[in-house]
Amino acid sequence: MAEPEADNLRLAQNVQDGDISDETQDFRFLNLFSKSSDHASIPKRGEKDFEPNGTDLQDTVLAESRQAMHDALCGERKHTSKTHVEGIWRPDKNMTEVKIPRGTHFKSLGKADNKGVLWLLPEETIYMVERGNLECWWEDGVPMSLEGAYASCLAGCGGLERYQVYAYLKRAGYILQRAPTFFDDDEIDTSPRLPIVTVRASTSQAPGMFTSIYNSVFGPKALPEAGPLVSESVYRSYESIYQRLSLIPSHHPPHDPVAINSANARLPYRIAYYMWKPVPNFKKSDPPPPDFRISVVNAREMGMPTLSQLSPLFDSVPHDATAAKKNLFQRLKDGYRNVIVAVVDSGVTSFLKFADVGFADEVMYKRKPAARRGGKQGGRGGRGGFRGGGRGGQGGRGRGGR
Amino acid sequence: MGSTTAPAPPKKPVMKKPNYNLLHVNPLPLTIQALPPLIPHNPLSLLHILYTYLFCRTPCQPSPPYVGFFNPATRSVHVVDARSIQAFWNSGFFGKGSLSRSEPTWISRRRRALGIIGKDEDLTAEEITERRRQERKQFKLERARAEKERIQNQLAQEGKIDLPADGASSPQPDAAAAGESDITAAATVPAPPIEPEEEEDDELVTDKPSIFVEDLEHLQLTPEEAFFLMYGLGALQVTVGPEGNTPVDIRNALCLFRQHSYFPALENEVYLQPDDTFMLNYVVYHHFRSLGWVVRPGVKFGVEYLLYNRGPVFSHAEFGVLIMPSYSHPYWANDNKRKQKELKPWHWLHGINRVSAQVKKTLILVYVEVPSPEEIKGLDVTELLKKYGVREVALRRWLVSRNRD
Amino acid sequence: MTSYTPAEHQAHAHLLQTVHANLEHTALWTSLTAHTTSTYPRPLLSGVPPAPIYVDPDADPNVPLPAASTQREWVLPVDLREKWSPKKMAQVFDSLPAGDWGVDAKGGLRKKRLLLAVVAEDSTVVYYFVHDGVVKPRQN
Repeated sequence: MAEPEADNLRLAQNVQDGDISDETQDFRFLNLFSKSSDHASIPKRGEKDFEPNGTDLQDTVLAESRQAMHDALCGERKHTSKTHVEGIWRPDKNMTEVKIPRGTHFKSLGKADNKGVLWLLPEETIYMVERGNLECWWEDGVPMSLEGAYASCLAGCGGLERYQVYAYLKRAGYILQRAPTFFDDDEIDTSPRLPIVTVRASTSQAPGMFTSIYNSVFGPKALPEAGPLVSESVYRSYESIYQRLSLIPSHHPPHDPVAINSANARLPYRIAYYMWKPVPNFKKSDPPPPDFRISVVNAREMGMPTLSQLSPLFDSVPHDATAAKKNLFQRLKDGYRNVIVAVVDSGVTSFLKFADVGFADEVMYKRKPAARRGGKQGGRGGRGGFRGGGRGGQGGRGRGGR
Repeated sequence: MGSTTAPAPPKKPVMKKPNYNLLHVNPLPLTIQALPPLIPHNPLSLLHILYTYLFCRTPCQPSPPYVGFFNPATRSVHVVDARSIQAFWNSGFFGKGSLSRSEPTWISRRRRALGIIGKDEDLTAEEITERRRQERKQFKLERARAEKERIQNQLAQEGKIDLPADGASSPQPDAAAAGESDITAAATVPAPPIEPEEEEDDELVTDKPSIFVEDLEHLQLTPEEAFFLMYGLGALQVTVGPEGNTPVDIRNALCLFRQHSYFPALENEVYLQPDDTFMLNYVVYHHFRSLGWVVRPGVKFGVEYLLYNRGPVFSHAEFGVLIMPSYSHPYWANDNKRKQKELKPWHWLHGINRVSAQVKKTLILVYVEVPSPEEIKGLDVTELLKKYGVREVALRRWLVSRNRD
Repeated sequence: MTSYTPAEHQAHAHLLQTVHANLEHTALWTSLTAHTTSTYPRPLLSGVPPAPIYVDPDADPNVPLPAASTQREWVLPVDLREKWSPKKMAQVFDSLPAGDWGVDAKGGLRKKRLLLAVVAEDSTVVYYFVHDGVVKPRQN
């Protein structure tokens, strides 16, 4: 009968895999002064009532939440004199000039020129103005409103979607910088290329004692035109049978550092931002290799990447040196290269990690039964320590494109 | 169901699992003749190897081959012969019981229903799930009761309703049923007129445990599974025809399966396309099978295939496979219909990805490069399959709040 | 109503047969009936499940459900590869007998419902509830 997945679903019930940003929030957490005397506990953020149940309690809770949000929005936003920063928007440069940068934001924002003047990019400008950390002025000495900041800067941000992603991730605490491939201004690499460069015909030959004995006696056999691929003869191992079955050409991601080629990645499937986890000693002038590479796409204008869009996107990012150290299953999930695509659907953003993986490099039939445990494992666990056919370069982390 | 007076906790039946490691020791329905190990200080072991090498020369294929017949109505290969069913399920988890979730176990459930086997004897996967589902149902019911009680108490506190005199405890179900029978009317709506049908009467036979039960179930192989067993392994003979006894060779089977991958089926093979569902599916199926994965259909999770390490009795599927036809070949450049088909909307992917994440499977997009019709014109099976190419891309939702530290 | 090509005819006949077998032998439905007359835009099934399969989210949790179902349910067998449209679905709903749908737990007229039975070629049948209109969602 249908629904055998019930046990799987049930399993999932126990796992808090939710993302609170998906849920309508109970905004009473904003109300710092609320002294709730109700013994009915305040719902956690994200918990929703299923439907109106006719109680006054429910109505009260809802009204309080609305009021808290209202109060928060009404709150006066002030610049404190200690961190008050002023800047002038320079339309000819498409940047904001900051004379006296103050505050922690500038540890990761802006770029100083050789005269000691700090310049903010358009997205940095809107972000700072929106947060209330920057007072921006027009060149003629008139203060710029937030609307003015949007109107002036948005075009230089690479579009609204990119700014939304930038601001969202900044607010979440990450450090972001424009990637060198932010614009679509490099020449397309016209050197002739096959549709998928990395696809290799599968080999039906692999070393192994029994196979080599076998092959030395009977010689390598061509694959029969109309099958069966496993010819009618004696086999000494299942491995040798599987080797006969190898047929379909497939992709092999680079296991070692490779040259980065970003020329063929076209908008929107180009890396827009480099991103780092929050670290205290971030040096914006000499940042370490980024933790994440972000591409931004407007879901209403562009569908999922086709292979001819995805392939050059992977080619524009370096190989992940940690892949070789992972266990087989993790490597099949994380891949040798990966890109985070931010999919913006009218302001709501989902992030998806696309990973360049190669199943043909991790054959399952070579796993020894001894390393396996019987019994059904709940999808996870019991797999640590196994390193299937570990390979890949020891080389350092690629830092191309910078 | 019913009483709220604490019933004795139901005894968990002691379920003895078969030794799956032994039962499923062969990953494919082919036999090997392993050479004995060489023991350096024991010269006899060398003799043993030689002996095995020279005299144990049984071919790996079954003799006679396993059999099944192609049923055009179900677009699949039905296997009814017990020896073949056993080999396909035990060695590689091929096929699905037509009346079961995966392994053909309908007869066990039927026999239990008839009282021929005990209540907790040889529980099938379906029955174990069913028991769990009942528990889940019970849990939801309790939750709904608690929720209702909470609201009733709150309403009473606010003076909007009067609770029954016996206090805060939830009303006894029987009393409630009497008082609110109008609400349950929905559950007892008169049914539309029933056109009666012959039905076996279970009650008549419950006391006759020796009764013979006919197994109505067959093992159903998808066209991809059947073709792999034929073309890849040479372990299956498929027959066709009204009597189901005309053998079909590999080339013709390919044609047949491709024609039937259209709905309704194509009458003429002339119209077969390089990207017909069978070709796309088979290329992907063969690819993962040849790497040692157990590949099973994934329709229940909105994907084409599920990939199991060793098999479904050992672990849950680790990956869900979505097939993405790719038309990079210059031939397709001006084919707008194909190019349109290549473009998938994000909401489609989000839906599938959410389901996969819920059941803890990683989604794998498998892009299949489709060759041009000219490239594959007149090619025989092996050369044809070699013209396709696959590329896997793993996909996971990336959570802002989970990756900061 | 609709004229069938022989291929469609054959395809629909097997869908009916597969879902019938699935309901009878695995879900243990009774009184299964095939509806193949021209009243219906395509073949349908109806039958009685062993226990109620749909619990109205407004039903009183303290009222025990009847152990056995008396509710006849309609089933629409389809092939996984078919393309469906709201129009086609509306035609199916319109062909279901009017009346006899009873009332919901709040006393309103119950929406027509059917089970969409999606048949895959490995013999899997996936069932989905489809209602002719908006109904209150069930809590997970």
